[in-house]
Amino acid sequence: MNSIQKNRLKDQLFKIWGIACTLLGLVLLTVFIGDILIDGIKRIDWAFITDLPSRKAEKSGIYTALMGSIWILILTTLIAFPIGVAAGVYLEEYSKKNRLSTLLEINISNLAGVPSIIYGLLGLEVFVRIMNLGASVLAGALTLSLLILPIIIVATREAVKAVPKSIRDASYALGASKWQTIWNQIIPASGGGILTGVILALSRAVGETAPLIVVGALAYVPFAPSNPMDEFSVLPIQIFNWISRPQHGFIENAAAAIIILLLITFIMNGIAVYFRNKWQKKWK
Amino acid sequence: MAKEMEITKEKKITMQQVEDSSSNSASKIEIKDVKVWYDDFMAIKGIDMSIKPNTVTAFIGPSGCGKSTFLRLFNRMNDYVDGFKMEGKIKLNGKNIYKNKVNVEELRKQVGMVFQKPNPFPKSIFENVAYGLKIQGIKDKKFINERVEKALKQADLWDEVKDNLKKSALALSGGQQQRLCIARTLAVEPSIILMDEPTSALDPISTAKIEDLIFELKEKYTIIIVTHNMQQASRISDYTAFFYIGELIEFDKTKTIFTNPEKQQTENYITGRFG
Repeated sequence: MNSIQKNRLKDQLFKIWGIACTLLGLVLLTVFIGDILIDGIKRIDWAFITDLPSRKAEKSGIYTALMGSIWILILTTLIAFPIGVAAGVYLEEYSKKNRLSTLLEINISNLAGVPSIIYGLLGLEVFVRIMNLGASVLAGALTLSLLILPIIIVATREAVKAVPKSIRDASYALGASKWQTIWNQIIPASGGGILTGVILALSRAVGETAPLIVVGALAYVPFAPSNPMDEFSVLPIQIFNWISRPQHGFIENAAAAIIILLLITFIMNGIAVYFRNKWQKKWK
Repeated sequence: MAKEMEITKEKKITMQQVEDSSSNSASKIEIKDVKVWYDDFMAIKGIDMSIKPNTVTAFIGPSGCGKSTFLRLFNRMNDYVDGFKMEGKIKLNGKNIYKNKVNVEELRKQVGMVFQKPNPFPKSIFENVAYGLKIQGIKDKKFINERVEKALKQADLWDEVKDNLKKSALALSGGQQQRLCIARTLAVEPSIILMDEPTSALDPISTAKIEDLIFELKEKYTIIIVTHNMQQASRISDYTAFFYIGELIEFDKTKTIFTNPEKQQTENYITGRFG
């Protein structure tokens, strides 16, 4: 075998290895989703979505948990979106490049890697106890906001950084102020990237369990929250609760709730992809 | 000195004098002992010069000689560069533009700039030209429409785009984009136009169009152009300044520079013996 043939063989081998690796993830996901679908799809109907939780599996629904998740989602968006985007834009456009900003930068990246349970403990101490919000939706949303802020900040910075310098130059040269340049040029140009980051961060927040358990979200809530100070549960906690029960009916319920939760995150990710593609087109 | 460079929000005093004299009458620039540093690196080593109104002045010199840095002093575009420091005076119609109270945004409305690579905003043709007016808070649609049309006509682009003003500026060719950038600058009605190698990314036909344009614009504006193209400098400029490693070596009528330069260095450069 000469060296050209050898190289070709290596090429082929790597290709096959690559395909195998790619498929591994996909196959596992497919098996998992298939399994869940078999267990849960027959349990999904309108009543399952609108029913309150109950001691009897067949009478239980996800209404309160779903509403809790939606409340959490909306409140977290309202809190984390403006703060995260503003912080990201500040760090990229305003802060001077010095030791302090480098330190901030490293810390924010580190924060993105802190285990979520730690955020839960922080939320418990600061929001539930010191701020006296109790085990409320608001305390949960604040905790999750902390959790996803670093992700939003990093995504915003990346998106803002990707706007070519020539665009800023052009805007400044026409007499635009810094704020006008940010508002009229940089935010529109980086909007796709920012939105994508925010949506992905939020879809992570929707799936979080641990920090909310620590904050005090309940497994059984008789009513959907009606204001930010109400007690709440969320879908992942509901799933966690059902799956730990012995009766088979609850396992089915859990599978059905997982389908709903996956559907929500898939839809959110889909929206993120849509925005990204739409913005990319505009720039080419 | 560094403090003076801060772009602060308090700079509310408008350059009244500049404005009064500017409405379509060109301005003169006086430069006195200007030095520029980027951190410890001295980019401009003390330059004096004065630029007459309604002339085209070409800045030539090898890459890294500081001519672009020098050009960007006139609309304070270096202010955003990290580590930038400056000493000396640059007077626009008698007013030092590096004084603390100068409103940088106002200054840039007087001193427009066209860049090396065409850099239209990813917006429509119309929005590109109207942007400078929009950020001034002008809302009168009729006025904006008139200005946009006038600017596009001045930039010799109107006939090519008048039916497609809503089309994305990015769909235009490189040469058209550069003329759009010129139109965008003209719409604000500056008195000085700075051009940083405006044709270096363009083909010869587009270049010729821009050169014709510069010749016409001279009637109303003072134009300073950085170029690496000796023929271009000799074709379009009235005055030529030769820079070398942060110093102004020679500054004279273009004709003199190209036919009978005083310094050997200048002659070597324009005849292509170095640089």
